[in-house]
Parts: sequence; structure tokens; C-alpha cells
Amino acid sequence: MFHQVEGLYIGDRVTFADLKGILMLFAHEIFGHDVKVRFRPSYFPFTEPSAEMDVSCVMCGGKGCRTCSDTGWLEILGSGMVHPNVLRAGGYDPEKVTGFAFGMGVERIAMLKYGVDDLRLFFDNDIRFLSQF
Amino acid sequence: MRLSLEWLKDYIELDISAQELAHRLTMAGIAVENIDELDNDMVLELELTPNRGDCLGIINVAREISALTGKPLDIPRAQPDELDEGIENYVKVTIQSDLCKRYSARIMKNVRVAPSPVWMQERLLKVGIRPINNVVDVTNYVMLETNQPMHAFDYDLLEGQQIVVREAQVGEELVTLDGSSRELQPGMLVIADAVKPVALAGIMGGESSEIGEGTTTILLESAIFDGTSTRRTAKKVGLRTESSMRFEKGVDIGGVIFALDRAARLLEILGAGEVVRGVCDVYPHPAKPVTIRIRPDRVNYVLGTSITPAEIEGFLRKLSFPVEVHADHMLVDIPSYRPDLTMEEDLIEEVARLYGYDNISSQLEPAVPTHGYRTDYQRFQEKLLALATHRMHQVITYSFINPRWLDILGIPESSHLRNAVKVANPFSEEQGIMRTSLLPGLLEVASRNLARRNEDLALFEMGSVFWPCESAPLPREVLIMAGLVTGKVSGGWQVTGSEMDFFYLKGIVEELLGKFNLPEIRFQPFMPEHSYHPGRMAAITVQGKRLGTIGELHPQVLERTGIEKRTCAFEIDVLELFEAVSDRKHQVRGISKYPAVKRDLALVVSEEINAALLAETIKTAGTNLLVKVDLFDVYRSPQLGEDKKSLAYALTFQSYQNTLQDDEISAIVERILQKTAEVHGARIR
Repeated sequence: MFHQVEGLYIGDRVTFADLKGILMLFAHEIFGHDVKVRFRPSYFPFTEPSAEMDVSCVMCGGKGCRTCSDTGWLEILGSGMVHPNVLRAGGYDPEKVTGFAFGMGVERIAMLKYGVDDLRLFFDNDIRFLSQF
Repeated sequence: MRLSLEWLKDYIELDISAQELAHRLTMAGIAVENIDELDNDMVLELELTPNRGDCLGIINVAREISALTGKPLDIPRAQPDELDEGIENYVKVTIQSDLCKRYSARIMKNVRVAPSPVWMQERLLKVGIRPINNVVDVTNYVMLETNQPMHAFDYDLLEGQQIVVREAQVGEELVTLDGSSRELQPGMLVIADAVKPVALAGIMGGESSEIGEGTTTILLESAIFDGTSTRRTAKKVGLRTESSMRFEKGVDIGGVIFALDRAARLLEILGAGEVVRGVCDVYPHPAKPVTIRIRPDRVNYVLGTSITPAEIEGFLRKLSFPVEVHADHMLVDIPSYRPDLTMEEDLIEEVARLYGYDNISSQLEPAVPTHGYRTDYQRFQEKLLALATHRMHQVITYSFINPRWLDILGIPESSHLRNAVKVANPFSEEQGIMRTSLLPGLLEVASRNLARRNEDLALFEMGSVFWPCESAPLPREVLIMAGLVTGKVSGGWQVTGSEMDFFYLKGIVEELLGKFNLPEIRFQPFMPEHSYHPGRMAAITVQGKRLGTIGELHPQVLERTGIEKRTCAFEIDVLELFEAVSDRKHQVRGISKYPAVKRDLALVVSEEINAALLAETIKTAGTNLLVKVDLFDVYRSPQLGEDKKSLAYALTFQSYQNTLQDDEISAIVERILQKTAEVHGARIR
């Protein structure tokens, strides 16, 4: 079991630059203003172009450690510009209206933010874990 | 996919370090997960997205690198030198199923099967493929170069000089190269000779036509098989191979002949045999070339950039895509090895990733987006959650539970709680049904905590229970808040911790409900059918409407759960509670100018008389001058008599009109005594 948060923004002149602006704001609010953020091309069937967002590793500060598999980066969410077919299916004209979408696992964000090393702890419900929140 | 840089350098010049290359590939969407240093070589581990199956071929990765670094590609010559003798004398290929899109073959004679050269074996080993012999190794080598899976048959072991691509017939069997005998079913695509299946198409060859030391003539296959069908068959027979995995992801239909020629040419160079003239190529419905229109304005509209048309053209040319430039758009021919590109947005992504996602500025939308809002019910749920966490730990448990829980809770066969939604294909019996109560999850959490010596627990969960719904395809979901307490309140140094019993939990629930200023909250004794202890359970009602239950859990339920301590629980229907809260009329009464008068009243009643109900009677009899009734003492002693108890209440009288006189109050108390004697058999102590 895990939880997923999804976001969708549709409107006039919503661009990839807006996607970057809002998601970077999110990353900085959650992980602090010192983290570095990067976007990598990726693939999702419902967005095009698609991007994955990485933040510099919160454990080692980007130097490389076990948590980030020595890459210095942590993948935290998937995103992209809403695919024209999705807009059309929603009754929008993709020539006039654009949008972006993103999705992320709540537990993954929480694990990185609070230094939780095992996903199972969230559903184990041991009060010694629960009482730390 | 493992990429050897030493091998890659055959196709493109590299003047950057492995680390720099890994970084640039990653930032262009070909994620490099790891870099392995092997003797005099670096091997990159590529994590490919599903749309870039083409990069399972090294040449296609080289194309990608060429677009990133601008270095030219050096694609090897494929065309072999051929004998005069033509392939038409050797084989006839027929496709009998739509699941095969293209089938091409070449024949080589005077074949000398031997180990392949050391350099080739080393390259194969580095990327994880076991060398077998020169013929098999070349087919694998070319697959790794081009992403085109290939197969070689011993031609002399094929019957009737025929290759037939068809679906298997009932009862057919094939012994595959791994030595297993496989029963074939209709729907599975096979390569057959005139008589029998000789390979499972796109998955694995058959043992009967295996290349061996005695092989002198071979048939090389380069073909395209349907991805979905290949996946299904591979799954059915339990064989996922390098080949089947590639067909699943898609193989370049335009590259079939290049790969076939390349394999023949390589074998020729290695001196492994001679190539018979011609290719037998069956390609019933050739793919139409794809041209995509891209508008520079649209690129910048979607990306929020100001990339010039010339730059856009430059990026597309770096990818070696032919571009035809028009006034406000360009027409781009898409090579067949990039089937992932089908529309303008796909090309916009190509431009964006070569431009660099990091070079796109980030912007915080200046326009005001449409206001989002949450419903009253959603906000109510948040408030309820926040209140509950003051006294209890919130837990989240699974919606799928073991049906055994229905027995543990002692739910009778006839109960509607047994009518649970069954999970069609559960991971295990543990998750066989969808819960109709939150108690199983809470009990499981409690018993796990107790086993770890977490002795004092106050837990709650807010989650759905599920009821099968005959009129709708999906079950009805009912949101419940349930809580459980066991053990002691942590006392600290001032007081010794008291037990978290029924009354403690009732206090929590009263506190929760009290925050919503609900009128007439009652806890009415109730005879439970299951789960709870008879005589220690109450229905929670607001203005006569039942919202939930509260009680001590049945000792047998606790025993079956392995909990050795008294444990209490409550369950509240959240929507019902919300409706009660929405319906209430919350009015404030002014403060009386006149003094309040207090009287204590101790009443002796039988043991079974409920203190709350007695208080109700007192209140009714006390008229609206009686503003408060508080139970402050419960006393039992032999002097009172068998099965008797004394309940002492503090009564507060107050009027809004005048100062109350003693005789006025005495008259009311008298009436209270009368009424309580009548209704409950109470006498004054």
C-alpha cells in the first residue's frame, strides 16, 4: 500500500516553464531552500513532453551515498505537459488550452523528508514510530 | 541495458569522460543508473523509458550521443559479398498470420561452426550474454548492435525447404533450445518448416534445428513479430528472453534487412561461411513513412521559451531527421527506428531535451488560477481527524482483510457484516475480503504493539468500510471513525496512571462530539450481537439518531486476538455525524443575573439502573430551573442492601427571572424524588 498525490493545472498559456516554477517551489518548501532541483526528460503515456524531477540528495547533500545510489540525486516526482489526447478527451481544444500534471508518492516524500529508511514502518503502526509525528 | 563504451566507440568518437557522457545522456532522458569499471572499459547501465526501446541497440544509442555531442556516426557496412547461387533454390517463406509483420531470411553455406573470436566473446560477456559459437554469437552481437533479434537455423535440419510463419495447432509440441518440451496452443506464433514448428516466434528457437558442430548450411532469420502476442506467449510458456523483451518494446521494421545483412557480413568476415545471393523478404504491408509538422510558435507556446526556428531546425538535424522548412512550420521525416515519434508534441519534447530542460526558465504563474475549494464535509473530516489526534494515535490499516476476522469477532452467520466484497484475485487469503468493520485493523495493530511491549495504546483510524451494492458495479463505501484503547493513561509523577477503560474512552468520544456542540448526545445501553461485551456496550445517539457504538470488547474476541488486557473500542459513522452537525441549531443562552443554588442528592437504586438515564429523569423533573446535573459519587456498601448502589448528583438551579427561594427549590427536589422513585425505584439515602 502507498498513497499518491496527483496535480493537474489546465488553462490558457500554461507552459513547461510554469510546471518548473510551481514544482520547484514545492520542492523548496518541502525540503528547504538549499536543495538543488533538476528536471530530466522521461516518459508517461498521458503527458508530452514529460519530465522527472530530482532533488539533490537530502542525506548527503549531493555528494553521493547509499540513499541516492551515489548519484547525488533523488527522484521525487513525475510530471509533464498534459498530452493533447487527454485534453481532447476532457473536452478541451489543445491548440487553445494547455496544462501540466504531476504525481508523487506521499510515503516516498515523507521518507526523504523525515529520514525514514523503511516504507513498511508507515503501515506497521508501531506507536514508537507514530508518536514521532 | 548494459552499454560498453569500448564497443560503442566502433560507431562514434567519444572525447568526453564516462561520467560526463552518463550525465549528458541522463539529462537527455536516457537515464544512466550506474557506471561499472571493467578492465580497460566502462560499462554504463541504462534505465530506458518504455518509449525508447530503440536504445536497446548500441547503434541507436550512438545516434543519440551524436545528437548530443555533434560527433558523426560511423555505421558499419552491412552488405555481404554474395555467391552466384541464389536463395530461391533453397527456401520459400510464407506468412500465414497477421502476428508476423515482416520475415526476411538469408542462406549461408560452407559454414564452419567454431568458437567466435575472443574480442567478440569478451564484448558479449561484458553485457551479460554467454558466448556459444560463432553463428549464435553473431546473431546475438547484431541484436545488441541494432536491437533486431535474430535467429539461425541449421538449414539441413529443416524439412521441405520451407519456412511457414503460422499459429500453433492443437497438440503440437516444441522442444526449445533450453531443452524443455513445450506444449503449444493456438494463438502462439511459431516458425515451422513444411512439417512441424521449429521455433517459438520471437522467443526461442527449437532444439531440432539447433546449430551444432556438424552444421554446414544455415538460414538466418530477421523478422518482426507482434509485441503483445509475443509477450502473452512468453508469459504462458514462462520464457522471457532478450529477444521476446525486445519485440514487446518494439523493433524497427525498417531495420530488418540491415541487421540480416550485417549478420551475414560479420560471419563472412569471420570466415564462418559464404553468403548465398539474395534475401527472401516477405513484408505484406510496408509501413508508411511518417512526417510530422512542427511549428516553432507552438514549441515556444508549450515550453514557455523563445527558441528560434533556426535553433529548432538545428536540433532536429542533430538527430539526423530530414527537415523541410516552411514559413511558419517545418515538415520532419521520422526515421523508422523512432516509432515513438508520432505527433507534434513528441517533436517538441525532442527539441526540449536537446535544448536542455535545465535551460528552460522556471516561472511562477502570474495569472490567478481558478479557486479550488473543499466541501463542508471534507473540512469536517479534517477537523474530526485533528480533534481525534489529541488523544489517540492515528493508524492506517489495509482495506483488504482476512475473512477469518468475521469469526474472530463472533459475527453471526445471519449478520449483514458477513456480506463482504470478495477480492477476485487476492495476493493471499490474508487479503481475501474487503472490510465491513475497522475493528480487525485496530485489533491487529493493538496485538502487534502489545507483542512488542508497547503496553498502553490509544489508537484510531478513519477509513472506509465496503458494502456490496447490487445496483452498482462498485461497492458502497462508508466512512467510519473507530478507536481502541487498552492499558493505562501515562500518569507522570503527579498521579498514578488510571486504566483506559470504558469510561475513559467514553470521555474521549464525548470530548470529540462535544466540540461540535451537538444537542442530546446519549450513550444508551445496548445488547451487542457480536464483538462487544454484553452489558458493557452502548449505542451513541444524537437527538435519538444512532451514530455509532462504544463498548468493551468481548473477552473471547480479545482471547482469539491474543490480547490479554481489557480493551475498549468505539465506531462512529462519519457522514451521519456530519449530518447531525449540519442539522443542529446552535443557539447561545444569555448569562443569568441571579445567583445559582446548589443541592446534592444521593439516591439509592438497584445495580442495573443506568446513571445517565437516572440523570435524564432528574433533569426532566427538575424543569428548566435545573440547569446542571453532575454525577459526583458512586458508592456501594452492605448497608445499602444487596445489589444496590448510591448515586450522588450535584444539582445546580438557576432562574433568569428572579433569585430562587429555598422553598421553591425544595418543592422541585421533592418532585424529583417522586419521579425517580416512580421510574427507577430510587429512594433518598
